[in-house]
Amino acid sequence: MSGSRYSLVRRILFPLGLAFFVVFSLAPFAWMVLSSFMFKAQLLTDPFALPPHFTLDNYVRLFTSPNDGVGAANFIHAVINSLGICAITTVISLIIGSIGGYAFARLRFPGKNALLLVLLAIQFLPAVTVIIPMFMMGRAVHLLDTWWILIFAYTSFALPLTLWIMRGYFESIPRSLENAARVDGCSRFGAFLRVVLPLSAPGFAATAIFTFLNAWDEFFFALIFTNTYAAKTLPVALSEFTGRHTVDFGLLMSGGVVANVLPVVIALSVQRYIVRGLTAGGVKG
Amino acid sequence: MASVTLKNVTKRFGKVTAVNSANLEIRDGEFIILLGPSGCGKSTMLYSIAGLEDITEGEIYIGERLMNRVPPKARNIAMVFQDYALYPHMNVYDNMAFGLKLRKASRQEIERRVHEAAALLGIGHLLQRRPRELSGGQRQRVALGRAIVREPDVFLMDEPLSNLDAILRVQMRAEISKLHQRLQTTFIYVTHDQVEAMTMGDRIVVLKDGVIQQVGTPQEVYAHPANVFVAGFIGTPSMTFMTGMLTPHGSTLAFDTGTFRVPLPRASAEAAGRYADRAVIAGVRPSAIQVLPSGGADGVKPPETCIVAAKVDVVEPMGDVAYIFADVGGQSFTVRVDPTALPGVGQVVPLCLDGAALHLFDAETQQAIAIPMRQPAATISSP
Repeated sequence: MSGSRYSLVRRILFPLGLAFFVVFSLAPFAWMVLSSFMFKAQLLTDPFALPPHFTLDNYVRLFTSPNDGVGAANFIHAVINSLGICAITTVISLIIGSIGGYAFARLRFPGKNALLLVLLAIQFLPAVTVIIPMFMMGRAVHLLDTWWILIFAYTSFALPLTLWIMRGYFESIPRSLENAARVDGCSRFGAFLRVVLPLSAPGFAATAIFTFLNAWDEFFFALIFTNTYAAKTLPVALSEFTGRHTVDFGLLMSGGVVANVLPVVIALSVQRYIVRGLTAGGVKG
Repeated sequence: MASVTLKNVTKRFGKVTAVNSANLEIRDGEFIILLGPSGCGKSTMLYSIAGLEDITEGEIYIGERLMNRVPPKARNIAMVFQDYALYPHMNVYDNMAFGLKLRKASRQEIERRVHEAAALLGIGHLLQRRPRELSGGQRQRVALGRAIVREPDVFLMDEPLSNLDAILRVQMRAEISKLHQRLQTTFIYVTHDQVEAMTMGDRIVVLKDGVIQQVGTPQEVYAHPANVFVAGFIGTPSMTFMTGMLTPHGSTLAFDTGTFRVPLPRASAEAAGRYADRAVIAGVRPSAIQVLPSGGADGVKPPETCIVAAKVDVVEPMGDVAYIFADVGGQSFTVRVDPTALPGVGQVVPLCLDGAALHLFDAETQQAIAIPMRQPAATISSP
């Protein structure tokens, strides 16, 4: 009895539930991909039908036609800006976050817990409360409309969480492993590099994805702090395909696909690090 | 190989003193045990010798060299941890070779030493495995192997057997002893298990609350405990302690609890002379108390004076030996008895307390004042 009920749940309800969630989350995505290959005329008349003719026109326009009215050729600049800003943000956050997280995990110093809570509290500040002061500061040091103002902003948002995640990860690595490495011939920093860091790869991967994607998706600060393609990022560039009077759905959809390629590739390529429990078996447990 | 010397070593964590001005000389090649209950400072002492903890005061020498400012990696020590601490991202070979690689040993040298150690420990077939693919006992061997290949001056072991099951523990205990005999290197071994301490150590250091209580061979510590704590900690089941007075008894002294009196042999009485008419603590091992046949004396009749009547509360047969917990006027005694002739619970049995087997301690300082004249009987049947 219980066996057949179990197999009913397993064979019918589980797949049905899964199918629902897959459709729910992937259908808009699939529609975006399909639409990006449609001609403008069809997009406006029957956007939900499978297109009779596929075209790469939207992608060609996205990267070539400079006189399309919205300055689509600048799109490539937005891609480069986004890549650069997000990559640098991620690297800085990981370096500072891992060293700081290690200090919080392993060292004894006064005010440690209070400091950790303050870091978390910063995370609760709404962005609007800091955007004006940050804008003023950015203007004072002439960093507006550059990569750096966004890198600073994104790093400062990412760091508290990076610190917390890495601290948690380091705490899960037994101290005895570091002690063993130090007795075996490492300095404290050497033990960190040779033993703690390799074991923290899943933590790094998770934190990196998190930081990178947060920065990649960020729109509000990018909109306020940039006004030329010297620093405009993808979300801002995409928003510009929506004009006051017209919306270029073709460019919007193909731009959306381009903006999504990298996150998808990253998530697929590093997910095994997140899933794999690297520390299993090193110590009794 | 090297001696290890601790001079007035103190380690404080904030307000907590983990090790309190410890003085200890460990001889070259000695197998020394740091023994005590959890929180007694034994692991802190080991970590201080390793350099993994900085000491607050005092000096630590390995050989002739002052180690206070020397980082762990430069002390030429190897350590085996309670949780094995194998590097999970390396296979067994790399785990064992790690320390040698850091010391820039040649490839051939590393290979030779790793294979030698692996052969010695019977883990040669496991070299390509990851730690998570090994059983507890195998991991323990790898951890030992990682220490051996380093050919260190001193081996430090932090409760290395406490995570193994009982059978494996006994087996590994013997192997570590053999290893020591073979390597003839200084071993410093931390444990809270007195069986490990008694069976493996050349000398035992008993610790409590960060203070060294006694240093001696297993037999010394067992037969001549320096104070009440050591007397109670060494030996299973524990000694029975009684408080009483030393009162004059003919030409000698007797230990008097108010309920019963036990006369002391002349030598003990002389040693304890200045305690006459003062409160003392007496301890007696379960094996040093005799249960007399209740039916009456047959054979050697013990002196009338030593007999007390005790009511049996609990009987614990252990196979080749049994223990009873018996009550004499509110004082509970642990007594080793012959498992083939167990008394029943509630039964009143006559016990013979031999004054010569009593360990006497100062009631205030808890320090030993008189040493028992004879070793506890090996078996209960020999009078």
